Amino acid sequence: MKVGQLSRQALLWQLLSVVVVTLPHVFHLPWWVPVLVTITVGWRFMVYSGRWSFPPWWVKAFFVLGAGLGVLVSYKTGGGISATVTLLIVGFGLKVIELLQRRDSYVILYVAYLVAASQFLFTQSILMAIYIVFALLIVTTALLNANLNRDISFISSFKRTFLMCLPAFPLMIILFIGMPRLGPIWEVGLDKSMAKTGLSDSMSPGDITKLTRSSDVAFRVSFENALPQQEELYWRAIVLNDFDGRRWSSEKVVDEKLNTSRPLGDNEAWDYELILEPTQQKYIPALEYVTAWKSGLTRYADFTLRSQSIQTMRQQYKFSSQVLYVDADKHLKGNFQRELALPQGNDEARALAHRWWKESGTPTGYIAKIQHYYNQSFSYSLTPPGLGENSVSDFLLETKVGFCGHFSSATAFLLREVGIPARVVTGYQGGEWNPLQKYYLIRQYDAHAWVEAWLPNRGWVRIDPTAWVAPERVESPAEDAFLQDESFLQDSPLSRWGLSGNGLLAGFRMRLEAMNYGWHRWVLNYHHQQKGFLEQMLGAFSPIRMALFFVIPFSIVIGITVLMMLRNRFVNKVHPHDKQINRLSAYFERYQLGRNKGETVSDYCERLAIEKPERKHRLADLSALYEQMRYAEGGSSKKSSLLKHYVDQCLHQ
Amino acid sequence: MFKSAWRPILEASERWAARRRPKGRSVELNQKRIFIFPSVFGWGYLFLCLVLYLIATNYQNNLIHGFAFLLVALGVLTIHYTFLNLSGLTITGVKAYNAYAGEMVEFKLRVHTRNRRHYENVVLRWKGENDSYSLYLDRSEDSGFSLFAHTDSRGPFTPEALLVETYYPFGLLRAWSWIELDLSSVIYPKPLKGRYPMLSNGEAEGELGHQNRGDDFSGLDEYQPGISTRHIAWKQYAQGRGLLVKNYIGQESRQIWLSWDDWPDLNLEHRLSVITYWALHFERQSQAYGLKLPSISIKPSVGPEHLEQLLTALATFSITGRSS
Repeated sequence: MKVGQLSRQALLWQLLSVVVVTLPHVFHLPWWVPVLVTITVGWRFMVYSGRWSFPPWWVKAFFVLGAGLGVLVSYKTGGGISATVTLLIVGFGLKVIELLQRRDSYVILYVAYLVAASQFLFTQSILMAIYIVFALLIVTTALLNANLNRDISFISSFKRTFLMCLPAFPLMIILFIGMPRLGPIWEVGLDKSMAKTGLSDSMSPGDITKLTRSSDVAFRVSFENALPQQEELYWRAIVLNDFDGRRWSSEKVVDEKLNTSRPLGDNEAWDYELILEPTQQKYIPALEYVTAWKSGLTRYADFTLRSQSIQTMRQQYKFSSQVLYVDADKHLKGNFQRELALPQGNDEARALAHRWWKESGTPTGYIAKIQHYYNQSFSYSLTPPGLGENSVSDFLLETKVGFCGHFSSATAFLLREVGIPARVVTGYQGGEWNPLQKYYLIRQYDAHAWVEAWLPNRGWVRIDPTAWVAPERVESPAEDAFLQDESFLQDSPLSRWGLSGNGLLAGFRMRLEAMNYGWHRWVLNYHHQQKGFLEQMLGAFSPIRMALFFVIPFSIVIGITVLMMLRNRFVNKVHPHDKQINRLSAYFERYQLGRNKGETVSDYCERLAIEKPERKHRLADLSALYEQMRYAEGGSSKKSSLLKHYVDQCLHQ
Repeated sequence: MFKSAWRPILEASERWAARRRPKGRSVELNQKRIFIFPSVFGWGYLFLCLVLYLIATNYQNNLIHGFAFLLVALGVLTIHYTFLNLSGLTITGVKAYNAYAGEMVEFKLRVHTRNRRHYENVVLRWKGENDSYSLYLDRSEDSGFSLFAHTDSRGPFTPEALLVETYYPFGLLRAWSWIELDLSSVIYPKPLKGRYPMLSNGEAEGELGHQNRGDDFSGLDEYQPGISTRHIAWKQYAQGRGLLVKNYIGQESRQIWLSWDDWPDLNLEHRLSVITYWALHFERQSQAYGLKLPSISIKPSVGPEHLEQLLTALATFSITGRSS
């Protein structure tokens, strides 16, 4: 093995590291990247096994050009972090093919660490974290093997790395708990390749069907004291003011801010903490009328909250909310032009509205009329038939089947037609209560749409027409309400299976969910708890205490590690034969002729013989006998006494 | 310019370090003697941790924070692992061999430990030499090996400091120690072929031809001017192997004196080299040979001890020695 060249074993570990860290990225990489890495790793492996030779320069050039083109084509619109990770993987995939020197291996392994860590930008589940720790161990083993001068077995080199890494885990936890988290240092490039999830900013009945099928987590909420009822959980996110006959949208976002945080009388207030999954959008769902919120968010005149930038990361917010409907004065003098506007068309629906308005006369009576009409012959379905040009008329008079989007769209239309200001609100309704960790889990299938109407002296009032038709949709968690419907969770049959069982399986799922919540709260969003947690643990916060917090555990862990390694100090058990030699050495020590450390017995006897020629023969006998006993035949008791005899003779001659 | 400005500082620090170097036949490495510092790859590793920390901070990603902290913790532990891979080793100079000038001189070393842990990939090397030995020591075993050093001129030779270093386990840090082992060897003059020694002087019989007066054929030798044509191996000459001389060993051994005065035309070093050559020649032929130097005279004899004595005299000879 040439100096600086990798051993064969080390090379195998390198290839394994590349494969292990690339594997979980496969799901979001362009298809050709895993192919490229497979080819280069495979090629290097064939070189390793002696079947192929290193590729000629033009093949390498071809790979480099191809990969460069591939990156350009795959990310021509700019890809943010995803493109960066792709570049890293392509880079070390190409480097693998000419891997030979230790120097190269460091480049590859350091990039492998980066690639492994960057997986957390895409997935942050517990399982993935376990996998990445495993990958880290593999890469570190490869690093160890690059620094060995001999091949040791696969298992034992992994074991050795594992033992070396073991004390690093408690140290990591200390650092994790104590190291201050700074805010973002520069603006993170937006990842345009990441799909938006969650609610869309427009609604033409039919859109929300898709959402209903996804069991992805939208957000988690824990309440501090009072716990609202299931039917009070209306998470407002987006207000849709503009209707074009088919589609509700927010042509012009309400940008009038609402800065006062005036509590609304004696209404019950809820304090809660919300962990929102990244949506790639700006809206923040919250309960009703938010009275206290985190800085960085803005509350607008339509009572919605929005963040300044797109939500690319999981965030945690603290809110206080009250029930909405009393804000009568704000819009009292407003002309509600926007909240009353309606386009042409839907004439049958208009006629219907005017007839009911004439019959009832008051807004409350009018709303009751609508409810009564729905209750007569409408039904709730996730797969309603399509609607024609006049969507509202078609729905009200012909199909009479729909979900929240249809009902809220039609209701808002009917209200506006008779001069009652109305708007459609989308957001989430309900949530699944986890009794173990005491929080609500809101999934994408909890997405909902309802109507808010402005009534004189009452202000904005929430009207949920879907609840009239399918009260179970609101009173119980969505999964119970939807289970009968076949299209529910069509895309993920497994979660449906987990949901339906009530006994052991459901309990297990609950437990898993609770663990997940702890993971989110204490690990993924630790920076929100850090200050409180440290203060709770250290008492008051001071630099000295902080320093001790690091120093003491570090000293303990490192101390134990070093002691464990030193404990293996060898206490030389003296062999009975060696006892005789020691006796000899002790005697001659007085002439400065003791046996040196590490000197062999035969060397020592020769040296003695030169200094004490009169004992030359006895010493030679002794040396020969000793060698024979120790290294060849072993000793019998007779030989042992002979050895003793020789030593005696040497001493007393 | 930069380098020249540094030089005095480097030299001073080198002198300081040299004074502190442990000396002895056998040296145990411990805290006082081991230096430790990040390697190039170690700085790279630190940079990697920093990059990960920046990514984690910017994306507010606590798992990447954890990953970076794990690497930092491993780096801190590696300082101790690397140190422990050197600490507790005892290095003993076992034997110094002699050599001819220009040859590599061999030193036998031995490394052992009282500890029952593995020592992996510890590299030993003389200062300024390329030859290195990479050591692996299993639990409380010991390891014997040879290290070679370059020589250029005759005389007593002490190797420069011995470097013991390791990058194990992860190559992030270099732990090293310089030790000075109490080993010295004698470098003999480089043998150079020269004119055949004059045998006329001293107790040797007058004629050149006498050297081949014996009966037992002992081999072929290159022809030297002045050797009787009777001894030329004509058969071999006909085979195209050049002019060779048949050698016979005489029953009665004759004594040859290699005298300082035989080669008056050569300079000091060259003369010593030629004497060395002939001493080796006669040793191979098993002919007794003696040495006459201005300061010393060794009676003719034959055998490895005689040769060593003679070569040592040649190696340490100096003109000033003559005047004394």
